[in-house]
This record gives sequence, C-alpha cells and structure tokens, in this order.
Amino acid sequence: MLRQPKFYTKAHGLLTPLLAICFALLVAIIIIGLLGKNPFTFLTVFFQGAFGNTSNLINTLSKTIPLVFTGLSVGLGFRAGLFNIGSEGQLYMGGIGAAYIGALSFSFPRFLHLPLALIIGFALGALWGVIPGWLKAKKGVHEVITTIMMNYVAIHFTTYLVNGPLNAGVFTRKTKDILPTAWLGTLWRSGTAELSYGILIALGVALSIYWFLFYTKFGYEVRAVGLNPLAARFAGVGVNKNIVLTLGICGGLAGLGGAIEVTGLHHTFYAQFSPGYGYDGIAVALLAKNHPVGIILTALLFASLRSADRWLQIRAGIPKDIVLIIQALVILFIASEALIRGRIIPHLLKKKKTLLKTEG
Amino acid sequence: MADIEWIPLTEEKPSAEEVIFRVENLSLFTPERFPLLKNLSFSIRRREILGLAGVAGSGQKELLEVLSGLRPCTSGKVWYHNRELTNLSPEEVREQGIAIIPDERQILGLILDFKLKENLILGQHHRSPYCRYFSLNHRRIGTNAQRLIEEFNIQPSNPELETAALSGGNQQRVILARELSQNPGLIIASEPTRGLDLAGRRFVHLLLYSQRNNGKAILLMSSQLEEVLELSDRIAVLKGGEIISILSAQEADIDRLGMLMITGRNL
Repeated sequence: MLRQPKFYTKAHGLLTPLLAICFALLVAIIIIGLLGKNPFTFLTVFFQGAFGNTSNLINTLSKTIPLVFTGLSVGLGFRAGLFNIGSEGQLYMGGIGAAYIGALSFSFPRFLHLPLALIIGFALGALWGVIPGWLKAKKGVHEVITTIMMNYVAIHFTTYLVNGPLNAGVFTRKTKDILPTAWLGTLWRSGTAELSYGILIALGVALSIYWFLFYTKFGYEVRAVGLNPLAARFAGVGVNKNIVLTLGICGGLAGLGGAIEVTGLHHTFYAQFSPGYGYDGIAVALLAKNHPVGIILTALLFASLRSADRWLQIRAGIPKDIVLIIQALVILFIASEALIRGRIIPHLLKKKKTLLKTEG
Repeated sequence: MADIEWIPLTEEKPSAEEVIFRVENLSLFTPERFPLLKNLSFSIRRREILGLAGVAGSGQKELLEVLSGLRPCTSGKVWYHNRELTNLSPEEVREQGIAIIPDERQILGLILDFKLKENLILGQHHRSPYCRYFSLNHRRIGTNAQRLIEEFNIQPSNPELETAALSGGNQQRVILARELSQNPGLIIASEPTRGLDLAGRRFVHLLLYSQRNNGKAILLMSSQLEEVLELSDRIAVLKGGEIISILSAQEADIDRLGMLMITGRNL
C-alpha cells in the first residue's frame, strides 16, 4: 500500500527547483573559473550586490515587485494549460492606463485617485489577455501566437502614445508626471533607493492567487482544465469560459504590475520602461512550478540576480552577462526535469534490475 | 473482497409505463456525410437496464459522445423525463442529474494529477455542500471523500493521495463512487468493467444491479457479452452504427447475440 508522509510529497515539489538552482550556480562557477576569475569572490560579491547594504536590498525588493506580478500572470496561465507569453504587453498596457489616469488633473482625493489608476491598469491588462483568450475559445487560435503578437502591439502602441498624444514635452520619451494623489507611497527609503508599498500589494496578490487556486471553485476548474481538459469538459466544466476568464485574470495581474511600476516607482510612463519583466516572468513561474507562494521566492531570486549584475561587473570584474547565463541555466535544468524523471531514472533502475537478474 | 456474496438477482419487473430516457432517430454523420450513427431509437424505463451489445467500434464511442454532450448529433432527438436534451452542452447534461461512466477512465473520467478527494467531487464541485457562493468547503469535501472511500472500499484510502497512484480497478471505483453519489436518475455506463479483475467486476455488476432495483434507468454499453446478458432486461444489438434488433433478456442467448453482432442475421 502506498502511503507517503505528507512532508515527503511537499518536499519533493521543492527538490527540483532547488537542484536546478544549485546546478546552475555550479556551472556558473565553473564558467567563472574558466574566465580566470575567483569563483568564490563571485558568490560574496553577488550577495553583497543583492542584499549587502540597505540600498542594494531595497533595489532588489523593488525589482521583485513587477516580477511577482508577471510571474503570477504566467504561472496562473500555466495552471490552466495556457501559455501566456503576453505578460510584457499586458504590463505595458497596465502601465499606460495608470499613467493616463494618474496624470488626470481633476482634484481627486487620494483614496479615489490611486485605486482608480490601479483598477484601470488591471482592466487594460485584462483586456490584453481577454482578446487572445476569446480568439482561442471561439476560433481556436493558439494563444502563444496571439499573446506574442499582442506584446508588439502594446509596446508600439504605448510608444506611439508617449511620443504623440500623451507626450510630456518635446525631447522627452515619457508621459506627463502623475499627480502625487496617485502615488503609491514609500515604505522604505535609503538614500536615493525607494521601496514602494507595491511590495505589500504583490505579497497580498500572490496569497490571494493561492487562495483562488486552491480554495475557490474557479481555481478548481482552472486546475482541472489545465491538467485534463477533456475530463473537465466531460464532467461539465465550461472549458472555453475558463480560458477567457483565466487569460483575463493573467492579463490583469501583469497590468496591475505595470500600474504599480508607474504609480510606485517611476511616477510617469517611460516608453519601453520594462527590461523584459514579462519574459522573465516565464522563468519565474517555471522555477516556482506555478505555485503562487513559490513565485514570490523565485521573483526575489531573479530580482537579486538582476540587481547584483552591476556590482559583479564593477567589483569583481565578472561580465554581468553571467547573470543571464545563470537564468538560462536555471530554466534549462528545470526543463530537463521531465528528461531526468522520464528517461534517466527509469534507465538507471532498469540497469540495476538487469544486473540483479544476471546475478540471481 | 471475499465478503461480496452472491446476491440473487431479484425478480422485480421494470416499471411498465415510466419511460425515463428516450432516443428518437438519432443520427450522426462526419462532415464528409459518412454515417457513424444511423437512426438510433430506443427507450429506457424506470428500473430497467438496457444493454447495448456490439463489436467494439460499432458506434458505442460516438453514442457516448453525443449523449454526454461532447459532440452534437446531426439529427434526431434525446429526451430525459420530459426535457429535451438534444445537443445540450456537457454542463447542461450534467445539470439534469445524469451519471456517465466513460470507458476511457484516465482520459475522460479522471484528472490523474488531482488528489483523490478532488476527483471525488469533479462535476459536483460547484454544487451546494462542496461550494458556497464560490469558495470551496474543504471540510465537506474531506468528509465526502472519507464516506465514499469507505463505502466503495477504495484502496489506498488516503484522500490526499494523487489519483494516478491508484490501480485501474480502484480508479474505476473512484468514478463509480463519484457518479453514483449524486443520486442520478439515469446512468450511462460504457465498458464499466474493462480491465478489472473478477472481484472488481462482480462489485460493479452488483452495484449497477442494486441501482436498477432502486429505480434507476441504466444504459449499459459493453463489448463483453456475458456482462450484457447477465445484467440487462433488454438487449439492443448495435452493428455499424445501427440498432439491428432489440431482444428481451429471455429470448437472448450468447449464440444469438454473437450471430447478430457479427453477421446482422438472426439465428
């Protein structure tokens, strides 16, 4: 009879991501050694650059915020069996929506202005998710294609708005500054580094997505559709409804992330402000195995890599591209989980069995 | 499993008037006008098992898809009590309280990566004891799982276990437990004992028969003649997507059915 202790199954889920990170760091250390640098200074400098002093720590946490949102956006999509590659575009749409509302010069009270900016950001992002969702549900258009294309539409559309109707003034690549009534406010400040309240919203949203997935009927249906769409449909779960709903929420999450970047960090919308948060969200979600709480941790990891890269370059003379190499290796090792489980372990077991047979 | 005794099949007659489920001139064509189901007509009464015998591939799969709402039929009508079910969506079909036991249990019947307790409410997860407004009641889901695991003797009995860890027979028990626990008026069972051992098969047969005696209407599709002969009150023979004959249990025997299934001619 199969009876596994609970902690074993729980720990098992953590095992692959941790192994992937360890292997990636190991390979990175080897590469640094081959470059003729001291691999151990790499580790210490990396920790200093990411967490070593308050302003570095604040920078890391600040970069974590958008990654939590895009990670959740991609991860929730994966839970429903959908590849939402469109977080980048949804982030831009949310950002521009919040920037537009934030710069409106009605005399809004603060408790109205800020939520309105965030809600409009969420809604525009959701719209950018619902369109591919509707196309998939009604016309069978694959969401990978549409979400990627919607990215370019969003990036170029917002760039047009920034240079055209919403331009703050000649020779700028940003919209008008948003009013202080729509600022998110600072939670922690040290020198020029600021951490907005967005980090609390990010944590709250991640926990709510956890609740949504495991404690509501919608989450149950999302997971059912993601794991076996045929059985879900057979049992009476509306698969098409769930595709549109899920992609809508995915888009909304990324849009909220963009809105928080604008209201919390930049206080304006710079054209092409995202250094690829949407695409990093894919890695964040993959490494967390689409678990909302795990996404908080992996977002922190990727943010720390991103915020330490300049220190690595300056203090240790290690090319900052090593960060990209580590990211790529992590994804590679995560992706090879199926290979290791499906091929290599059974292969080893088989060998053992045949050995036993020949001995016996 | 030794405690399952032979229970003599009772002599209660099917209810004469109460037709619960009726299919009229049901046809299904491929887009190229190739017929998959041709003019099927049959009805099932209260307290009756209608067996559908036929060589595998005679249209059982297509009939199940049409009746469960996965695939719209080309023409014909389906009635349940006095409601028309023709070409409703799977959600609407399930809303009527119809239990469907699919032949492909790992593809259609179960979500293998779900926990046992989650699979035991699939399709009922949005209804009242398990879900209030939109939040799931994990306590009720847990007690439901405990009850069904005990009642249907599902092994291993840990409701937190992934369903993929169960044997085929126990997976079938999970489907049966889930489908029958909603107290359906009609049960559509397709190959309910495929891949089961003798004890498991006996278990399923007794279960279906007691459901019949409780007043359910049952459509039993099976390619195993002994099963159809043992359980059914009437037997329809399906060949090439067509019902070529409907026999009562008394006039049917294995030679006659086999001849009908293969050649289409009566002995």
